[in-house]
Amino acid sequence: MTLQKFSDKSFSSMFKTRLKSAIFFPIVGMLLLAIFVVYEPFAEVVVLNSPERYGYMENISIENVRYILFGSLGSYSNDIFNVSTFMYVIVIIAAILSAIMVFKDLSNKKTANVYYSLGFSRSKLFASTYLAGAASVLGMVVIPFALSFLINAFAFGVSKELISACIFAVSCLCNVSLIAYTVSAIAMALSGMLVEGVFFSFFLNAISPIFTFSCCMFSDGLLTGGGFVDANSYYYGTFENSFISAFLGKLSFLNALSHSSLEVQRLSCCLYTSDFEGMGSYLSVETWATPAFIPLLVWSFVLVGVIALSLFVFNRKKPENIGFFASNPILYRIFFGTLIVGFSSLGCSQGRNITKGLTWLYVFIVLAICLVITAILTLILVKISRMKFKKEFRYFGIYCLAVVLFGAIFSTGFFGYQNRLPEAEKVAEVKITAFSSTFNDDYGYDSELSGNNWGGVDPIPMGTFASNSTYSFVSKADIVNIQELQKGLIEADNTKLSQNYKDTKIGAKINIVYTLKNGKEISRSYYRITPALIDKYITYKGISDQIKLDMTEKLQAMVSSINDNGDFYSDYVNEEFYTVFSKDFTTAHKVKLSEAQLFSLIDAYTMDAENLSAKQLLSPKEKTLGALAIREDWNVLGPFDEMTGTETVEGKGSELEFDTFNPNNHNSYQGDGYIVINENMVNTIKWAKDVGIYKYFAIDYDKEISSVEVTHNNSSAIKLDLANNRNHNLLFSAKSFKLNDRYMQNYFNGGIVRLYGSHYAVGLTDDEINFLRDNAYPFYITTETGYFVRFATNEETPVYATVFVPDSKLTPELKIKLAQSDEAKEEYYGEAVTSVGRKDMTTHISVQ
Amino acid sequence: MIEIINVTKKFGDFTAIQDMSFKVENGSIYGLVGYNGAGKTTLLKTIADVYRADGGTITIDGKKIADSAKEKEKIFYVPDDIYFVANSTMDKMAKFYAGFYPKFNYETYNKLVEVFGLNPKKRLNGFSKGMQRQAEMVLAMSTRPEVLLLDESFDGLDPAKRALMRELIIEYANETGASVIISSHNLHELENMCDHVGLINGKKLVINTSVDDMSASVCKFRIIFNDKKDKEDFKGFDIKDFKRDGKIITMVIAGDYEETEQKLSDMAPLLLEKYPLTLEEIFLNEMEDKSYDITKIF
Repeated sequence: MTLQKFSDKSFSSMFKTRLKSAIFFPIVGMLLLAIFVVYEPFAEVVVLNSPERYGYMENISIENVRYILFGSLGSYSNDIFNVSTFMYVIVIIAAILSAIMVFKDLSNKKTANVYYSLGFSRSKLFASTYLAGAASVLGMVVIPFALSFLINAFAFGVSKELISACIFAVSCLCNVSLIAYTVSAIAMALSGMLVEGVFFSFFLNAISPIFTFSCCMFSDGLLTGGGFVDANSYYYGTFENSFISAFLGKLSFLNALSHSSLEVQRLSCCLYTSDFEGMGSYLSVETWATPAFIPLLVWSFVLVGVIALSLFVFNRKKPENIGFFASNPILYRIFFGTLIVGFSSLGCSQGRNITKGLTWLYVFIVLAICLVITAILTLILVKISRMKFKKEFRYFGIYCLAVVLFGAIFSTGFFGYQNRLPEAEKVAEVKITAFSSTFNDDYGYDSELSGNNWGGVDPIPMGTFASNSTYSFVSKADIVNIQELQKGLIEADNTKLSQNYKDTKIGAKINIVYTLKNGKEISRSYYRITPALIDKYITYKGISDQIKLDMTEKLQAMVSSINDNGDFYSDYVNEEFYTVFSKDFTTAHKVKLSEAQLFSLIDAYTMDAENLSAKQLLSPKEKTLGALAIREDWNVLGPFDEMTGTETVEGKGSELEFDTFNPNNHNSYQGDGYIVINENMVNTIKWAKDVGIYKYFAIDYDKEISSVEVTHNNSSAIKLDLANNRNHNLLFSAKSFKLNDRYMQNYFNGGIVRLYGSHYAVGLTDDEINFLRDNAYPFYITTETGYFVRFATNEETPVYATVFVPDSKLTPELKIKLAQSDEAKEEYYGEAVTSVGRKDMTTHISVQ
Repeated sequence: MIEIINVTKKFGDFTAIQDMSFKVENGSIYGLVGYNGAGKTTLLKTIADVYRADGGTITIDGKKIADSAKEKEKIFYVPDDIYFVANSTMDKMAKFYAGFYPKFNYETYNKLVEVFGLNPKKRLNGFSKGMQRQAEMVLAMSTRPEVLLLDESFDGLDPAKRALMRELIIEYANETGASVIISSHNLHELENMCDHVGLINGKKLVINTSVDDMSASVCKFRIIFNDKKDKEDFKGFDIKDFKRDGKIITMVIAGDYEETEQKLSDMAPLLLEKYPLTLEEIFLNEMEDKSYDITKIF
């Protein structure tokens, strides 16, 4: 045997030996992968070939399908829980475990003696070991996809789309798994002990997601116009948003472990485009588009680099360190550095809710805490290893520097780049979203000012206006005006809290997206706005027109939706039902409307919308009449049996056992809404008179008010909370409820409710109370100062109704009285209410 | 021939072996002795390229070993801490090593298995420590290495197997011309087997010589004179150890023993007896730089 031949033989011997160690977890991974990649497509093919199909398969035949590479036809999802995510998780974990298994013998004192003394160069030893694991990892991905390809080829024939998708998916999964595998190999090479190797195998792999996550958090806290946190679901909180964004959002291309994940998911299956229609509304299949290969290409280069690094690290590995804990301090420095940057970014994200200055304070506090913890851990490490504290202590400066560097990059908007506006001439289109509250963590139902539930007023377009609406402009004049707004947003993000309400910084979110003539897209997200800017925003004709259009379209859609779902409601009531609220929200009446009456409402409302501006519709100077609830959430107004067959039922807040209420169903009521009618809306008023419901708008002055609680919206507590982005919505909406409900009692005793009616108005006369009721707004865009006023009715079970009364409506005397009441008590969040209102407080006190 | 030239190995700031040089000729058996922790295992692992030397070079027939697959194939290192692939038998391990050593000889393997009376089909983790050592030696010699490195390889063997092992090593070196380096604390065993010895003390190789030369270079004398003599009366001798019991003086004197004997004879002793030193005595003489009064410990 020649030497070369023997060399090949020894290489293959080592390869085979290492393969035996490596292969277990990839086999497990392959079997799991096969569930999605082999079983599911196969099952779909079987169903498609059978005569009895149901669900989304009902309208699909085998001819409609170009391919089903993995998952099922109905499994497409942009959410984090999609098939692609599971496949990524499987291959990554299997690859990491495979690396641990294959390299563990080289991290063990006994075995290292043998392997290092064999007739191998270090490079060859590494290569044979590495390739054994890599081959098993590649096999884990390639084999199931090869089977899927064969199934597809037999079932649907070979198409270029199938080939492209298969190559792309396999390449992405191989790339991700090899990166995970190689990074683990590096961790094993740098570790002295197996337990360290296992820990750092996972940790080093987590660096890329942590880095991406940190970028999201830093951008969230410091970057004006950030927009990297682009969660798929608006109801997630900031942390969850950043977390999801780190894996699937705009920055996910930075994440070694999730890059191209959504693209792979998009390519899971493909139908013939011409066959899309009639395939079932819940079958979401995108049209074919060539896969985006660039991120894959970039990460392939990175993979080559990581492999070269692993070879370098392995060649420099010191077997004499095997068996010693923390023999390689580099790992621990990376560990501490990554965690410190990661946690500081978290602090940064929490701090963003105040001001930029305080954001930095948050960052430094978190940094200081992290450094103390790191110092303690380092001391422990020094005790049990050969590390030297003095030497390690020097790295603390580097950790701090990294945090400051990150912060500086994001805080300065990439050194000014972020705030640069594109030249108007180069812009083809600009889109601006509606401003919406940025608080997401409570689903909106926690706030008294967000009115999507329990009688809170949600003017027809606003429920969706706030979260979904986007207004588009193409003319140069409009583009320039939107840019002016954007400049204001940039300024608002950097200004400090102002004494002047108009300049108060308020948490809200607006996205602006430019599409340039060269096809490039620039998007920015802003999280702070001032009332002055809101005013500018809503009064800008281009936006105002589109809001109005939006409102009328939504009303039409809602009415159509009611008709479509008529069967559902008729199970409980004979006809659709609607509720009319007085402007002070203390009384409500149920009414019936015919289909014809509803359509005439659309006409009347559309005419008013044409004649008035968005501000005149939503936040007018003129008085409000009241509100008409369209398709009110039936939970709010009482049990079904009370409603059935009744023509009008007086509803005074909730009679409902709220234990049965599931806040998670909130989204299903998104279509619900109110028409808030004001004196400007002559056509709608006429319609109300014509159908006979106008009388119910009248305030029931016979219903006595036992107490009035007030809070001014320019109070420091409110202002801080507004800037805090939490529990507020600039779109004030009224709500009323009865306090016999257990949930509401707890809720009422909470601090948030107190904030908006925290001080009893003392010494008000009946006339003054009636004046407040008469000038109440159930809905208002709070661009000017005023009082949040809560009335409590003098009943055995009182109704509590919160409305807004602008300062401009108040008489000078009333202003003084309310101001004195509002300032009388410094304790905003206090549990006990000691001030006595105008009327007997027995009822109120009994629920404290 | 394997040659170790100015080899230094450090573990961080700690220097384990410093500037060591020696060579082992073909067919020669070199015994490495030294205190526990003196650096014998470190030296062997450095020669086997498990550890990388921080200074110096190691060559086989003039060719560097470090990271050279070709040269490393000529070396077999039997560590103190033996490893076998999990759940393997001798046959499986033979197959394993045959993949890495081009000269692996199944005939030698089969004969050695027979000589030691081992069951090659039985799982090695069922073997006793001594049997595992024998198995490892069988495998080591079957690879027909040009350099055989043995680290405490006699530990755990019964006297019969020790003798057998010793004979096999001598025979192997003689027949194949292999260089054998063996570290052991059993100096008596080394004495009967090695032709060269190296003594490591204080990170350095303090003795590096052939066994014959070593015997000739230091000798123990028992002398009786008419009159009482002190150590000072023996100026001109390189005395390593001096003990007097009445008129009987026992000395360990370094240098050419014939010359020393002649010089002592010239001093007209009543009795002059010469004893060759055992390796153990040489070791103790060389290393005993501290003496404790152990009677005060308990």
